[in-house]
Amino acid sequence: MGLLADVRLIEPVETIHTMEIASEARFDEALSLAFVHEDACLTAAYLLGYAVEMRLKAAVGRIRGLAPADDLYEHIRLAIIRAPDRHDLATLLELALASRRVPVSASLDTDFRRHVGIVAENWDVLFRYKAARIGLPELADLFNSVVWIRQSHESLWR
Amino acid sequence: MPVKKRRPNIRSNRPDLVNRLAAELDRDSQDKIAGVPDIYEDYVPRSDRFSVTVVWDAWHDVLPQQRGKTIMDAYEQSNRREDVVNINATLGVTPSEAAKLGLLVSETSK
Repeated sequence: MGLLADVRLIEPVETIHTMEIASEARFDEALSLAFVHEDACLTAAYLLGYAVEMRLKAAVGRIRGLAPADDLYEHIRLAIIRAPDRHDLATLLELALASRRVPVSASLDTDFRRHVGIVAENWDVLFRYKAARIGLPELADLFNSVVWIRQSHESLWR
Repeated sequence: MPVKKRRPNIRSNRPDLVNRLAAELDRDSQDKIAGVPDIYEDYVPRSDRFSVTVVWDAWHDVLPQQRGKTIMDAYEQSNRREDVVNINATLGVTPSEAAKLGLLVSETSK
């Protein structure tokens, strides 16, 4: 059996729980790259964006009351089927905010839009094709917004 | 076939740092002493949930994942153990890393 089959055997579908665990794993891996291998900061940025994407998807699942074993990936795919880009963080945030029965406070709404906007401006899935070398200071805006979202994501669904 | 249970190791591999950080949590002093960590707790609005950021020189040879485990273990070992269930995120950075990243920390530091 190959690696893909092995992983699918362990995690047949992406659930809220696996997305949240994976988000933390990508965050830790990004920091390892940024702190230990400073010349891998672009790869760190690449992973940080995915950490946010998975946090937002998990939040949508929690707001919409998905069961622990439900296929979150498929649920999101169907929910944003008309979106041009499934990695679009603004679309995922809008989906989360629109899925709430009671809106978040105006200040929280503003903060989430601002930080998700900063991540979107500083992240692209196409980073995997890039060879640019950046340093820790260039990660600052992205890092601080990712940290804020990581600390505050519960406010989206609690 | 006997069932072989394998659980992930969620404990820190740096008990020395766990002890030092737990002692600092128990000391709960605003006095700044060289070499001790700066501990920041950021609360989720209208909730007991909070995140912990520890800025500390001692992290320099510790991988990020181990830093998080060390912070969790320190809370569990300290007088703050009942707060562990309310911690929603941990972050350990050295002062140098924090400076390079322009890390924004709250004004409500411990």
